[in-house]
Order: sequence, then structure tokens, then C-alpha cells
Amino acid sequence: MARFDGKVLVITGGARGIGETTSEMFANQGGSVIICDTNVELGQALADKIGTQARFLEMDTTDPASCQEAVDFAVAEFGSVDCVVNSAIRMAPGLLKDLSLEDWNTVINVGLTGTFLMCQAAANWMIDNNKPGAMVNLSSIGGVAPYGMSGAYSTVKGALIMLSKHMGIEWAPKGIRVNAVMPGHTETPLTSYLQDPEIKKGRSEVTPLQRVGQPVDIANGILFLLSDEADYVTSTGLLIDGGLAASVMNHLPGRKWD
Amino acid sequence: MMLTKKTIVVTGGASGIGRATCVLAAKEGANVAIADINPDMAEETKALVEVQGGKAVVIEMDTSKAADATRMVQETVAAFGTIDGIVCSAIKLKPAKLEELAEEDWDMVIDIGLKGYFLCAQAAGKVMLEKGAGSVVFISSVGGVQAYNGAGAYSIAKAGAIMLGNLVGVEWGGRGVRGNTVAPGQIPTPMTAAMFADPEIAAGRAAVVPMGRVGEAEEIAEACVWLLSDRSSYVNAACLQVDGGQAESKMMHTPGRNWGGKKMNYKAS
Repeated sequence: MARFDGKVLVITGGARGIGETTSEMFANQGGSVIICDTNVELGQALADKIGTQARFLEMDTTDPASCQEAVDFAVAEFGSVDCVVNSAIRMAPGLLKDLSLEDWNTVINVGLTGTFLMCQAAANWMIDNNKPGAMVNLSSIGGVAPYGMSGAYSTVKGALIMLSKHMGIEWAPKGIRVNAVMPGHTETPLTSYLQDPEIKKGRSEVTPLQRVGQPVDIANGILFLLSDEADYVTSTGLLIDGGLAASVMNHLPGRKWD
Repeated sequence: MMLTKKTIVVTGGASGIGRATCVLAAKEGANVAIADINPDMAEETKALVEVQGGKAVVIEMDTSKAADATRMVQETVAAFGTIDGIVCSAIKLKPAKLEELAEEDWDMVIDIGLKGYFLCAQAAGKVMLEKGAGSVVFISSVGGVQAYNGAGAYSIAKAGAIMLGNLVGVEWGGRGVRGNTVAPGQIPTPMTAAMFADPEIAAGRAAVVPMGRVGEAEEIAEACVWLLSDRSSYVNAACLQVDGGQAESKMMHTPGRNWGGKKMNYKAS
């Protein structure tokens, strides 16, 4: 029996990057997936590539009706919602001093409010139908260390850890587990700057494992948390960052220990 | 299988979480070195490993002794040729109020639970660093992130284990050896069997966990095996809590949450 036989995943931001890899691996391991994204072209192409175990849904995480539609669509197509992954995010970098309210709101709405709305809609279905579930929300190394000049990104990613813990605590009695993952530098379309060899080299060197992450590294962690292997894991965050978050002291110059 | 042909050392492998980890690692294809101070129970673990079709050796040792840690590595390499991962779980619990905690009891818990982790990881680490691949997993505890009152030096050793895991990850990660920690919640094991035998304590301890139950040794073993495996190949210097939400449940215990008269009970449906 495959790891996710009979399980249905709703994933936001599922068309690209970490979401894309997670969608493919979940299906490869026996599950069915509703790929939710604002990018119709990429989302539909991915669903076509995966085949009968995948459907694409154009959705807007910031709209509660759209989140409810994702749940209804999953139930209509595959009969259930067992797993949720929220990876949808927008970047709007800027200095806090100059950050526009519009940019602040965009990132907060897509990343934080969208995650809340999607999880809330799915949890209500799970609770109403007396089904257990597992949810994973994409935070970031930027959620545990302030990421200067990233605009509202770090604030959203930090809040996503707390939101995941909070949902985990409130829904634990219902059998719904909620956790966050915190990737480090990861090579995705969102981080196209990593295509610059100098940036990639520099970011690899500041990571204790000496490389940037790939979507599969993060998807492996997400799938572990969604699986029954993690059935006592809830309300926590899993760093998948090659040791980056713990490596601040690596940057101290002048350590002449000998 | 996740650990095919890998050789894994488990300190404290004779019982509890250590034993469950030995058995699951074997089920996933690993050879297992069961390092423990109790050879009789370690032999029982060995039999359980062999039921899974795995190979095991028993190494009788005291993890707090450097010479024993060195011998542990020598005997493992003699049996299986290499070391691909180590799980350190050996611990002794000596509860006491801080004002009454004896120096020898402090030393014993720190020697086994912290120094022993260091010595065993160091000895096994040398083998793994030489070949540029490996994984170190330390068993910490919810008591390593929340002060465990009345538990003597236990919380201190467990908090230290998290930092030691991070240090291993930061120092050795660039050379292919990852270091991570698992922080279990309350897990009935032989060490805590007497306590959980009291039905009132068992019920009370289940009730304070958001998931409403204590955990099982096998659930911790799952996390250990995952961290040993290549599926976690970018997880380094991290601490994975496997506690049913317990470490984050502080505010559940705040009485008098009236919220302005809005009656709420998330445990009821």
C-alpha cells in the first residue's frame, strides 16, 4: 500500500516551486491532489502531467468563497479532504520605512489571511464529517529570523508558525494536525535570483550543509508531516534549511581559538 | 526501505524509544548496533531486530565513559564495516527538587544525558566525517524546551542536547554529517512505567496534551528513522517536536478565560 492511498490533498500555490514538487510527489505516493493556483496555464499543465489523480482549480486564497470552492471541488472530484498544504505567497520587497500599505496588504492577505481561510474551510469540512486530517503551512527561515528588506514577508512567515501552532492546539481534539515547515534558501521560481551563480554560491556558503535547498528537500518534509509517520506531531515547526537558522555564530570574524 | 544497508548505532537501545528505533531501523533495512548498559534487555532488542530480518550486535557499555564510546564504534565497525548514523537516547532520570538535588545525581544525569551524547556522537562522528556522510540524532524532550520542575538535571541535559545537536549540524554539516534533535512529549517507556501505572496520572497526563493522549515509542522512532534517512537530507541543526502539541500548550492552562462572556469549548463539538 502506498503512503497516501485514498488521501486527498488540497494545495495552494500548487503549480510552481515547492508546491509543484509536493503535488507530484503526493500523487506519486498514491494520493489525489487539487492543485490550487492563480496561474491557470502552469496549474492546468501540471494537472495534465500528473493525470487522473490531479485536478486544477484557479483560486484566490484571499477569498473565503474561493477557499470553500476548493474544499467542495475536492469532495466532488475525489470524495474527501484529508490533507492541506498552503504554499501560496507573494513577494513585495521593500524597506519598512518606505513600504506601501498596498504591498503590506498584498503579502499579508495572500500569505497569512489566505492560509487561515483555506485551513478554516478545510477544518470545518473535516470536523463536520468527523474525519481526521493533516495540514502543513509553508513558513520560512524568514519566519524565525527577520529578513531585512523583505517587506511584510518575515512578519507573515513568523505569524504562520504561530497560526499553525494555534490551529494545531484548537483542532487537536478533532484529530486534525497542523504544522509549519521553515525552508532555508530554496531554488524555486520565486527565488529566481538564485540563478545568478554568484548569489547561489554565496547563499550556499552561508548554509552549514554548503548548498541551497531544492523543492524536493522541502517536499520530503511536508510529506512526512502529512503522513501517518508523523501522527503524534502537531503544533510545531520543522526547519528544513541545511542548518542555516542555527548558524549565526558562523559569521563572527576573528575567532582565533588557537 | 529508507535505511537499506545502512549501519545505525542506538545508545540506550535496550528499551523504550531506543528499542523502538532499533526495531524500526531494522525494518527499514538497517544493521543495528544496540549500545546499552543493560545487556540482557539489549539481547531482547536484538531478538526483535532479527524478527524484522535485520542484523544486530549488542554492545554493553556506559555512554558516559570515553573509552566505552570508542569501543562502541570499534565493535560496530568490526561487525558491519562502517557507521552511517547514530541515535543517542541513553538517559537516567533522578528526580529531585533543585534545593535538594545532590551533586552526584546532577553529575550522573549530565554525564549520561549530555556528556554521553557528546562522547558517543564524537566517536561515531569521526567515522562518518572520514567518509563524508552521516546523520546524528539526539533524543531531547519536551523537557528540553520547557523547564521540567522536579526532574532534577533532566531538563538541563535535554536543553543541552538540542544545542549540541545544532552544534553538530553547524560544525559537521559542511562535511556531510547532519545533526538534529527529536523532542518527544510524554512517552510511556520502562523508565516511566511506574508513573504511568497509576491510572489517575496516566489520565491526567493524557489530558494535558492537545491531542488528548500520550505518545508511543514507535512514533518517536518514526521521526528518528526519518532524520537518519536521505528523505531529510536538507534537515540540519533542527529540533523536531513529537509531542502531540504539548510544548505549545501553555495557554491551554490559563484559567478564567471568559472572553467577555463568549462561551467557547473547542474540545466539544
